[in-house]
Amino acid sequence: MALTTPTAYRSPGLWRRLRSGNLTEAQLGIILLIPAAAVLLLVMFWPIVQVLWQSLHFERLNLPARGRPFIGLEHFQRMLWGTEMAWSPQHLLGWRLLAFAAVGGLWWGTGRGTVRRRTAVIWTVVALLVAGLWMGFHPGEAGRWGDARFWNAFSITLLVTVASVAGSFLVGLPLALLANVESRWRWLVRIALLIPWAMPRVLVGIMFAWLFNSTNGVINDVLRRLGVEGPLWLARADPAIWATNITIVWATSAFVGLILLAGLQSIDESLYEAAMVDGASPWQRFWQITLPLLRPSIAVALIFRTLTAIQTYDIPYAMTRGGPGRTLETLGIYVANTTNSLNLGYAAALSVALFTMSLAVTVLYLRWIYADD
Amino acid sequence: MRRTLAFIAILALLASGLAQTQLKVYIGGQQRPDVIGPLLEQFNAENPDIVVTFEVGGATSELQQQYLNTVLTSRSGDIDIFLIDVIRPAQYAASGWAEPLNQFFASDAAMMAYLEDFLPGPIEANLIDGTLYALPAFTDAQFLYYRADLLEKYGFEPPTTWDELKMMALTIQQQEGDPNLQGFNYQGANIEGTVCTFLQALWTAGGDWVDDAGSVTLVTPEARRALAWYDDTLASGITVQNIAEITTDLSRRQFQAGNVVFVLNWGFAWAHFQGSSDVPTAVAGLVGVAPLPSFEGFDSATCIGGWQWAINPYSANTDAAWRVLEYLASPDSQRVLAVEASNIPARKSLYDDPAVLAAAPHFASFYDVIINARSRPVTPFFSDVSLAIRVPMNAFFARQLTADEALREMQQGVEDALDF
Repeated sequence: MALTTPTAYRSPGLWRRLRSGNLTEAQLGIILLIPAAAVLLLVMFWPIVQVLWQSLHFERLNLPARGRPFIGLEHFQRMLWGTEMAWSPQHLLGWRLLAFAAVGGLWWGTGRGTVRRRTAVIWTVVALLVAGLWMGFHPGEAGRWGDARFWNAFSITLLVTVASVAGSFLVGLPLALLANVESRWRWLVRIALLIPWAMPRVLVGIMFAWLFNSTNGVINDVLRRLGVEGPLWLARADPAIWATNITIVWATSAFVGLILLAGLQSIDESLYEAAMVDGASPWQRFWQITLPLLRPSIAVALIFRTLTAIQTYDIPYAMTRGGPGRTLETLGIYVANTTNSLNLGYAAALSVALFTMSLAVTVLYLRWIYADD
Repeated sequence: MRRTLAFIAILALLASGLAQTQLKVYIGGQQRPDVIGPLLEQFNAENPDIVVTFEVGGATSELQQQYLNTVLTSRSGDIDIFLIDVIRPAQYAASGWAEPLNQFFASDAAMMAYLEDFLPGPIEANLIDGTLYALPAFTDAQFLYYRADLLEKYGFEPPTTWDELKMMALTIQQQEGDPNLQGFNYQGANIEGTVCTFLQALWTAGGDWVDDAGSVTLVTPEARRALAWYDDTLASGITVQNIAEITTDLSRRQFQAGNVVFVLNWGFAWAHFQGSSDVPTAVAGLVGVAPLPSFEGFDSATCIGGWQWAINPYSANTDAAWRVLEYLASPDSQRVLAVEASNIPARKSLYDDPAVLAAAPHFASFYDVIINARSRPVTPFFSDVSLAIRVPMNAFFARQLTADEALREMQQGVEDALDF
């Protein structure tokens, strides 16, 4: 009788487990993720890689004889730097160099733990804003580097982002608070929150262009009845910036409101009861309980709002097509105009710039959120 | 039994379908699919070996172009024939996006003889260095529409110079005493039409955007005169101050509501004014149409519009497509388009055609304008040139740029667009 030597237990191969349905949880998880990951790779990462690759090539469809030569970073040089670099005093003394220097120092400091991360993030945002706005709105061509139209679009994008994100929080937070109050009229506020959110942006743009129309529009008609001569909203640069931002705020504060409302509803009532027992005023309750507990929701709303604001295209296009002149030509509109002019190479480079802005903002926010960890 | 018969019928249809050449035509929503559809049905009935279907998309010239950009960039042959705006053939020729049509004629002389009946403007756009890239489907131009009743009331004939127009507009505005009555309306928004607003004033001052040697000439006394005229329309009050937000359709609506004495607009506006419109009209039967005025001593001029039939070079059936193209550009088809869709014919012979004139008597007065219509810059870089002109124009109307600044910006922009 031969002794059967005990063989070491061999776990069955993946294929066997797959057939028998005997998978570990991790294996099952990976298998279930494969289709989604494949789709993501195909529809997200592949286009991103393609746009990056495209941005390194010259391609103008109305110049087919030139073909599609590889030109390296030439598009980015044209965009950011220009082909003829002039070191005039204005260039050197521009605020932007100081600002960028400050950013570098701060980030180095955070790395060494000498500067608090949150301070560094705030300073970075402020410095980039100052630098960015200065780039675009610097008086005279001498102070500019590279493609003046790009810097103009860049600054407008920053301006629209800051104004409309701040605006949508100023409107969205009170709306969310209102919608959270137990009242007979709560349904009204909730509907008011849902309608702008559900409306297509282009429709909103066209609708508000009519409202703001300076001769036939409702807004100026109301002002006229009150005895005030309203501005030529969309026919002058400054009021057009206001009108467009008001429209964007109208259309987007609902989104902020909805997310904040969800956050408000998750706050435990007993906290307020305890605070009331301790004699806290409504104001104190708001600052000490509501706002701190709302922080995760605020962060989520802020990230999504900022990212959509950076990519703003629909409302300014529908209202003024980026006009008057180039007053509201955001980066998104510039990309679309360049694509329609069939300059696919440069359009790809501009898209990369837009993508970089979104990425930078996301990284900054993530750092802010995890600042305390 | 019945079901079997139906099945056999479907099979037969499929089989015949396989033997036939399948072609697809792409048109925009604004080009009356309800009229072009039956026209293609008739072609199918007459030509059993070809089956033409059509696809509709895009409500404006820009949107149609964006769709075709996608199709042609990917070298797709799904669409065999498409309609393109009169401003596009040069770009299509450069990009190789339109099949050259010379090959379908016995000789170039035969081709020129065939083109004889077409209006000169559209042919100028479609014939690039002796190669024909498209056939005109119908044409268009900017016209001066005026309130015939008001002009008659004050004993005015339609103006032939801009000064006359200003004088008449001011007189009528003052005498009527209606603060809502605008003297003169045109397009100043950031749209394609604003390019025409600029060029028309430039041409009627004897200038052009480019000289015979091909250099861009936008900072010239003629161009300054053109912008000085628009400054004057705003300063004298014959034009509304918010002209920077006036689009083609907005200006059509304001005239239609009875609020404007003179308006520059395209051919489509006529039918709206007469009551075939989405909004009520206050001016039915009160509208006159005339060539654009000019500056003293110069000729009238206007921007040409309209659409062209072209063949996709990536199509597998260009020969069959040519037969459809010939059919669509024929006098009979253009007559149908004129009578049923009020499209302005691109063939001279149709302007004294009884059927056309019975349906659209105003075409007779359009002819004098159409025959003198001029092309916007014929260049493969038209999209860039257009932006380089209309953006500073729009800023000028928004009082952001002075006339000189706007012209300098235009000059620079157009030079950059042509410098590649």
